[in-house]
Amino acid sequence: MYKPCAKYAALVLLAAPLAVCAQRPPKNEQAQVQQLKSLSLADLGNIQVTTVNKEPEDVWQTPAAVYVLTENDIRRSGATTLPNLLRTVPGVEVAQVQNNYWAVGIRGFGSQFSRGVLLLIDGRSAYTELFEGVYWDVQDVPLDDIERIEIVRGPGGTIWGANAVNGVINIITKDAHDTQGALATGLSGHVNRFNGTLREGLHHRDFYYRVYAHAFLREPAIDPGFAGYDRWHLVHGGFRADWNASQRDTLTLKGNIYTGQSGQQVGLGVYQPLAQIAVNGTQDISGGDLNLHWDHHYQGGSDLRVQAYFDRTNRHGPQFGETRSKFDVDVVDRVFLPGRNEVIWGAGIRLEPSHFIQTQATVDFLPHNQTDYIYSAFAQDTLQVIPSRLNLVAGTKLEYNNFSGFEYQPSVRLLLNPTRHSTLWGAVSRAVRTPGRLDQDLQLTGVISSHPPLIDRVEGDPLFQSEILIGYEAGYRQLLTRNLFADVAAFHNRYEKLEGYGIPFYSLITTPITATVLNVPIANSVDGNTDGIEIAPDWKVTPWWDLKGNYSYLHIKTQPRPAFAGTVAQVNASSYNGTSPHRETTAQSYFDLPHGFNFNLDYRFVSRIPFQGVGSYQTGDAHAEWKMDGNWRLFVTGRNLLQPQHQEFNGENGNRVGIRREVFAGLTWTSSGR
Amino acid sequence: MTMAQPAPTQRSKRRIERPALSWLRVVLAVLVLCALAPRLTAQTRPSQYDVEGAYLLNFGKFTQLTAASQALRRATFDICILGRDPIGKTIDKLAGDETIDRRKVRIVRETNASQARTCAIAFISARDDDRIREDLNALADSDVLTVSESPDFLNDGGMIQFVIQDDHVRFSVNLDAVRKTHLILSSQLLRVALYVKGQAQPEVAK
Repeated sequence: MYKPCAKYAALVLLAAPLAVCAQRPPKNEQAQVQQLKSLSLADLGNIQVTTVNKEPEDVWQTPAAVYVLTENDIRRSGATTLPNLLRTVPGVEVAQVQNNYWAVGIRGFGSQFSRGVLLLIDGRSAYTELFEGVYWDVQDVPLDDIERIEIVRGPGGTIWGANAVNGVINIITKDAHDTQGALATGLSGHVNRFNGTLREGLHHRDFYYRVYAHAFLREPAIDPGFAGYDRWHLVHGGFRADWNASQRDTLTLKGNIYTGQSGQQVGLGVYQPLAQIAVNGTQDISGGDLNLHWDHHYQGGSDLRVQAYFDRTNRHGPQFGETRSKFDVDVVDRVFLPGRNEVIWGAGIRLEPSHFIQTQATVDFLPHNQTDYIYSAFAQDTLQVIPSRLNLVAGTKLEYNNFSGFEYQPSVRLLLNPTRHSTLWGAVSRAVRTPGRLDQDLQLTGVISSHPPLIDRVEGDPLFQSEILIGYEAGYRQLLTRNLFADVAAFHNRYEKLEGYGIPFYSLITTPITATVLNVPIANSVDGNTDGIEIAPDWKVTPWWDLKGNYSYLHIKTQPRPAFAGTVAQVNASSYNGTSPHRETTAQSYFDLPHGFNFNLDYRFVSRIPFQGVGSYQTGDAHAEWKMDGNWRLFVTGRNLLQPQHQEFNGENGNRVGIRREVFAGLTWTSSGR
Repeated sequence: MTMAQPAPTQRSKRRIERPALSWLRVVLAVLVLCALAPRLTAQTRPSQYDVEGAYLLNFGKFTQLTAASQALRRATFDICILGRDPIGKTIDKLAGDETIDRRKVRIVRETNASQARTCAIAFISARDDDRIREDLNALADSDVLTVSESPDFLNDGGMIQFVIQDDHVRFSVNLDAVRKTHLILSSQLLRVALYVKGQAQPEVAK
């Protein structure tokens, strides 16, 4: 623990004298003023500027722990995948399970399917009901198209609905107005073998659109048997169109289609001959989506958004296959009511017909065909108790779904702005993670011994209920000086009915084989709580140097519910307790250098996660860019530089792979000199 | 350690010299860095707000009032910064002895939108939609050219919105909002705009 602290302190100390001298006005300021004066209107748009680090104004008005990754953060992180982008976000734990899988947790509970974290891409949910989480290997958004990523830590059920228990990751892509002209970018390295995007933005009168294609191939991580099973590639095409239909209406239509392969090693029980085997294989992954948004602005500031989307995913691998379609319509309306009330309310319906394809007799979800559904409605009022000073926000979401029936998710929040640039907030919320098919319908058989024939069977429970969170949060953020911003958030979360194993029992089967079965039901068998604090300062040391960092502390304590004390649920509790790092520290340094150069250094420390057999580690990334002229940008990125390889999480079949140090270089061309 | 220090002998003097030298190095290093820092700043790039300031002045030059306008004309051409001032001092230097329409340019900081009704240009620093709408309401029917960098400014009814695109400052125009006033934007300005909401065809060229 001392090393990273010392490094962090050293960075800050290093920075201090520079900050002092940077206050001095530049000598040739006059020359710059003259230059600016002499530029024409058109010329002004062509000079490169340093953008001032400013927190979006919304941040001051948000009574929640929110963090925003901007376009600049995204480009300069050198990350090529979504989960790797999230590593710098306070309170978010990102662990790479293997080349193509990540465990992403917010304030704990990271798991391979990132349960309790809701990922939204322009309002489209990337949550899959089968495994109650996110398949990161199909979440591909060309990073050049992302305007920003907003990460809300803490329960977000009141607005976002079920499964936003621990937080929401909201990816917002650029308006087609902002991506006019052509872009071509490509990079290559020994791990990131290829990653390239082609994009063209056009418009016809007020109808703006872009079309794009993105493809990548990533080489495997280092697995214990050097089998290299987790190769991953994807080809992805899409479009987005934005049309200002009238002065008050905007329409957005966007769509994607992709296909690829994602390798894995799975442990499988087989009946003939009776054995537990490891299989290396490839999942064929494909899908697409179509999204329509209509925004209407009423006179007087109210607005209405109607969103409809269709999403299709197909996955077929050595363990199982599934096709799933998602039809979703949501309406959100915002009105101003007398007495300084701003009310947001909405309703939605989602239907998900799905088909499970059994490829192994030992892996099953019953029934094979099922249509999952959610009907939902929510309302939230923001009352300006003292205008621009004190806001009270209260609301609830009501949902009805096919797994657990009726759910309610209320929250009360208080926002105090002592000054325009300081915010003090607190919140109490209730959120749920509703069951999915894994909890209720799974039949997973493993082989413990072939002689005598003994198998274990993990069985979903149709009566499995929602996991419940009651969260207490508070936070403070302030612009301490013109250049120094600090954000602190603390929380105490109480979880009830977390997923675990129930009480096992033995039975005998005669088909398809004669064997003794250890039945392990899935049950709501664990309770617990988490406490933590996240500190995220951002210091614009000089106009050309930005230092950001965060420190996140998490204490997680779970135990079997009283009815399950002393049973196998203890293992689940230990798993929860030992799977999230207690401490994470990151530091990022952004340098803007002369002649179009800029340079980034990222450092991170993650404390150990004993249940995954992973020790603490520290590593870092570096990214250098050179904007050669108006059109060309050259970049070189090194990731995980501090060691040849390191482990972050226990993967499928108990394998921990080595995440490799990697270096890649690339080139970006834009047509318009932007 | 509270005792008075004895006068240094030759020996102890030499002893002190070593650390003094290393401190000197640090001081020198800092000085070099200090000397370098402003040069780096100046050589690299102006800040986004320096450029936005330059734009504001240019907007003044490429905008005019129709003859029908009853708007009060101050003796000076006032560019007003409403609310928190992110733009800083560069714009004051840029304004210097500039004149627009034979009026001397003044940079005025206002806290209240209603006081800005006689400004020629109002830069609204707020980025919160509700506050922006309040400010715009206060400026309605006043022939003030409204400018902001708020992402939803044009949808809120503002006229010109700065857009940061890949470290360049560009701007978009809401011509519908401009048409509600007696202002005329020159075709030159519209041609340079990243995007013009309303109608792409310029009206009267200056």
